[in-house]
Amino acid sequence: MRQSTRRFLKWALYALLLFVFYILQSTPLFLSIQGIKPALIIPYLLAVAMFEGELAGCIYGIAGGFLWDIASGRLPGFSSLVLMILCIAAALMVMYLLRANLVNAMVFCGISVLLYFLLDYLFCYVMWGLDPARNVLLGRLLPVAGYTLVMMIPIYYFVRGLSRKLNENPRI
Amino acid sequence: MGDFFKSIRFKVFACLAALLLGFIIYAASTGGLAAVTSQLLGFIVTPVQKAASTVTDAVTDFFDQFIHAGDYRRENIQLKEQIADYQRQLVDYEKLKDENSRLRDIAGLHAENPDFSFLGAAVIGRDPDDQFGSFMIDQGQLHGVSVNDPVVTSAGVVGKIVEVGPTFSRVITLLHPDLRISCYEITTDEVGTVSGDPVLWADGLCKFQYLDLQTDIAVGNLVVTAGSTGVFPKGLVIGTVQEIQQENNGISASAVVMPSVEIMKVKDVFVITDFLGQGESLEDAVNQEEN
Repeated sequence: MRQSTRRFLKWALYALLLFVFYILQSTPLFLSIQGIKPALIIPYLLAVAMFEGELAGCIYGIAGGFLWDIASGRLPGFSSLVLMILCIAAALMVMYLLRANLVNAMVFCGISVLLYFLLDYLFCYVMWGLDPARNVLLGRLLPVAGYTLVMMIPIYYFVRGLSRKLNENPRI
Repeated sequence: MGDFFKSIRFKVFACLAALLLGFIIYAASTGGLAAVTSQLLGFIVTPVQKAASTVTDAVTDFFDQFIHAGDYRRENIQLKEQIADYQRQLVDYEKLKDENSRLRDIAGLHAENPDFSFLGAAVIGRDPDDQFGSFMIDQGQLHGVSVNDPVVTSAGVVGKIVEVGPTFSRVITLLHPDLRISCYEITTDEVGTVSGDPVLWADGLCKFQYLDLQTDIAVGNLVVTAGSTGVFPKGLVIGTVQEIQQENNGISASAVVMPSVEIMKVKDVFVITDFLGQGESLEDAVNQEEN
């Protein structure tokens, strides 16, 4: 198989998987525990950025964020912008400062979900004075963030295995 | 990392970020773009999501049975107890309803006949071989029931007691040929005897006999008890005349009477255990007066 075809298939597969994770994330009851569901897109995008670099992180971050915004009825572009920045940051950290391992992936994921949900909370609730008792933050967003962090473990190993399979000479 | 911030790639990313920011501002100010993109994506995603949701629901339901088996068991036991409780309440309710209906009837009858002593009774058995509708009631000697006590409902006469046990009694009905009640028709005051008929019983009818051949009784007239034998008090409704017939003997007529009570369907009755003139026939009264 030619190198360009192989590269195209790899990107298409990541895009398809992004779509699958988006579907699973927005499917009612899927992995739901007491009504709390993980945001699968964040760990997936971070893992892809870690193993495929900042360009992949940027493109899939924008696409994944856009899908998420549409699914959640949020202002389109908000998640795209935030996820794009987070994914590029994660990719650069792996490229220049840290190793791509589970601990670092968990740290990236922890910071990312915390940042994402705090920004989400700020723009969607605090600005409009919708959650004075912090019920949404403590009862909803933080549990979702915690659950998402847990889901980073299987997704990290899944994307790492996939990346190794797809890249003849893995970047990492 | 410093190289990255000087690279073209960084500039491209920064441009993309700026574009996204512009897009956000534009979408926030118009709203139209968001709606279009949302609809477009929904068009693609919805069928896939529907399928995913169906699969997820099925899988979740399947595992849910095992995960929450204990909860379901507890809930099941609770619900069963609740159902049993409701059923008990329902039985009580039906009993109270029947009792209420019976008491209302008694109240109505008692208002019309203040000298009557009533005893409410339920039909507890019917002999399937008895075509004349005889039945057993749940009141007997211990409750004050005696042989020959009239059995009625608020609609009219049902029959009389022919056999009394300690806690039950047997009743023969208007359809039985052995029951003969002295009656009169209220418009013409013609007197006769109502009894069951071996032919008419099948249609739930009885016969008003020994009428004058030229009787003025007409169809639809009301027949009531005459109270002359001391068994039935005067004025209890028997039924309405359906047809006038000439008897085979050629010297009298009879009327076919539709009882006012549906004899074969009656479930609750009253036994009149005492009334003014009970056991005193008209003949006895006349003899007493002569003496």
